[in-house]
Amino acid sequence: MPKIKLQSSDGEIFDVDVEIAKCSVTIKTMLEDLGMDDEEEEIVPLPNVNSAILRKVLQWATFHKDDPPPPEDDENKEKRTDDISSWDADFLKVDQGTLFELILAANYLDIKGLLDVTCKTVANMIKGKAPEEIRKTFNIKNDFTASEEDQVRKENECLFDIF
Amino acid sequence: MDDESRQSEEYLSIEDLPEELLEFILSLIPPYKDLHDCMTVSKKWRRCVLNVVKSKKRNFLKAINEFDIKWDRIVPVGTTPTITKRYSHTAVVHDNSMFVFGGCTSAMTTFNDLWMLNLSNRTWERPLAKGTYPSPKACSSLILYKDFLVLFGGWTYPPSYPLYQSWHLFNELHVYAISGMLWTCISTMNTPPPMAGHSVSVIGEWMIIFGGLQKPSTAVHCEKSNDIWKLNLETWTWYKQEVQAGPKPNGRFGQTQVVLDNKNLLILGGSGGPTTQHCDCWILNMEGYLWKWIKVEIAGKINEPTNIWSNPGCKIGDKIVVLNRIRQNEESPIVYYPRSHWNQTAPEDGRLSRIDLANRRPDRDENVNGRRGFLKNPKREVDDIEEEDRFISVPGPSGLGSSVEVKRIHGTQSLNMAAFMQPSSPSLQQNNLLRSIRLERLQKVEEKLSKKNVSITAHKKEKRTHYLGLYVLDISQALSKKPIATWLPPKNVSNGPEETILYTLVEGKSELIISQICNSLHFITSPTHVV
Repeated sequence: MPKIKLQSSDGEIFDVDVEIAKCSVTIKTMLEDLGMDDEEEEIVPLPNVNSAILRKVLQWATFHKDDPPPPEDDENKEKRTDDISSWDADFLKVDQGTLFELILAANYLDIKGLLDVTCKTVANMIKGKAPEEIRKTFNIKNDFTASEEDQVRKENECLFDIF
Repeated sequence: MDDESRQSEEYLSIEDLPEELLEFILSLIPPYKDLHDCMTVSKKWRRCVLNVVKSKKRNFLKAINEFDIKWDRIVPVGTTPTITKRYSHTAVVHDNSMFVFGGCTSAMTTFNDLWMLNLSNRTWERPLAKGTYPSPKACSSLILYKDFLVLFGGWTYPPSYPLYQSWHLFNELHVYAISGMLWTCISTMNTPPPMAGHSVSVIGEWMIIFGGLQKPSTAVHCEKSNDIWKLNLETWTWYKQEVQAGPKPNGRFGQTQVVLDNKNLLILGGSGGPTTQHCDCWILNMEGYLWKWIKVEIAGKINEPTNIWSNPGCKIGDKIVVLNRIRQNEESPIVYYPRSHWNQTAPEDGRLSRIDLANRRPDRDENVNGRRGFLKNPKREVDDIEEEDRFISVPGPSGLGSSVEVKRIHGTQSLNMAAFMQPSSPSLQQNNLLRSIRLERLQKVEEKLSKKNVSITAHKKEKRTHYLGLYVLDISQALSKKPIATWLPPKNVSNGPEETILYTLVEGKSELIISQICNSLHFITSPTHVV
């Protein structure tokens, strides 16, 4: 199987099957647009992904390489967030830093399946929590002043109700 | 996942994600309480939630316009508490919940229970309500006013004893305090007659009721009404609203009623009785001392749904969405189910049950056809056979015609034989012998019958499966000088659940919720889109 070399932001080079690398739409279009031949051993630089994260991404891509391609339109795409496979759930038992790095990498590399599952994981961490708990979980600073918060809360009711 | 304590400066946090990624994550949060809570987290989150809300709403309206919808189905699983099967119940959405009250089973047993569907996690919960419960009833009306649910009217089928009671209509008024979980019965003056199947809307502090099956105290029978009643929800006083002279809708029940603005209601469809399906559309203008009915012309009749009375409609933006049987291709589009179609289908259904009756397991009682009891009079046997014949000569549908003929021939043969038997009055032994021959033949006929019927019913069922699909009425021009409403031509056919009626259809947040007879729930949403 033809291989391709991917270079992470910190200079590490990964030898990867082209088929696996192509689950990233970014790499796939890069290969097609730039006419990079499969035979040529060229190095694809990925300046936005470090080696630790790239390793994780490739691990995920390898496991999912035989998955059926996602449907063209999203008609059948489930919006549910509780359908994460057990392998993925285990795979994503990582600290928040890694999780968000994975989201950024999946977004940059345009790997839909990985983006979906990582974002679902974050959504599950948000669900069922009060605003204060959400702030605590994600270490978010409350930038509303006390008086603003009251005001905003009332407005929120209206804005949300119209929806 | 609870790594927040270990989190240090060098790690990436959710705050480092670009807004479009945060929006994508937020779009995965159920658009009810959970998403609402996210608005108070920070300014950035609030901004993102509002964007998500906006795009969800836009996508939903677009999905309805384009008929490009997604069906989701939720079936209760395992031992979780779940609402029992029912229809003709009533439903209302409040905040994070959909409330469902009453309804009845297919055996006409009515309920007075109140259930809450948590829309975030889609689980049923039954609040332990206190206070004065309403009577068990179906086809009542439930509305939301402030923090209250207001329940009015409905019908119930009385218990089977004493016999010959007619069904009972209610005009009782109950209020359910959502936060206090308390039912209160409100006694009112100048109360409207008992009614069911009426339509109801809230405008300001007024609950406005139109039509329904009513039973005025002076009347013996129910009447289809076209009266308008209004209830002040602050003072609990009823008023009967009079209208200007001029054309007005016929009396009806089961119609769809939606609020267009503070001054105008719209009525669509309804039933005027077993042979009258209304599919007209009216505006009720509520300005001035006397209100006014304005007839709305309907365009696009070719795309009209089959029946709009047992299939409730729901207003989404400037459209009314109705679910109805998806039209089959083989049916000519010009025939949009005139009354003759009803006459055609109605007896067919009735006959199916007849066939079931004929198809029931043969009575294995030992005494049937004189297998026991030697003194049985041959005359009785004639009767028996005649009865058999009566079963088979049920007038058949065109498709069944031939088989019915066959059956009748067999039937007549045995009948002839029995008749032939009668005058001879032979000895006991002869009688036994002949009887056994007869029995054999009868059995053969029976077998043939049951085989035929099984295959026929199976065939019928297969052919008769219909699915619900979307029908959309554009009412954006309903308030113009020349009021017109247009049934939109379907663009995509997206099969919903199997055809059903008397469910409820309510709008959630960017979704339509159908709660159905078989206690499954269906949700119509727009297809998801990725950033």
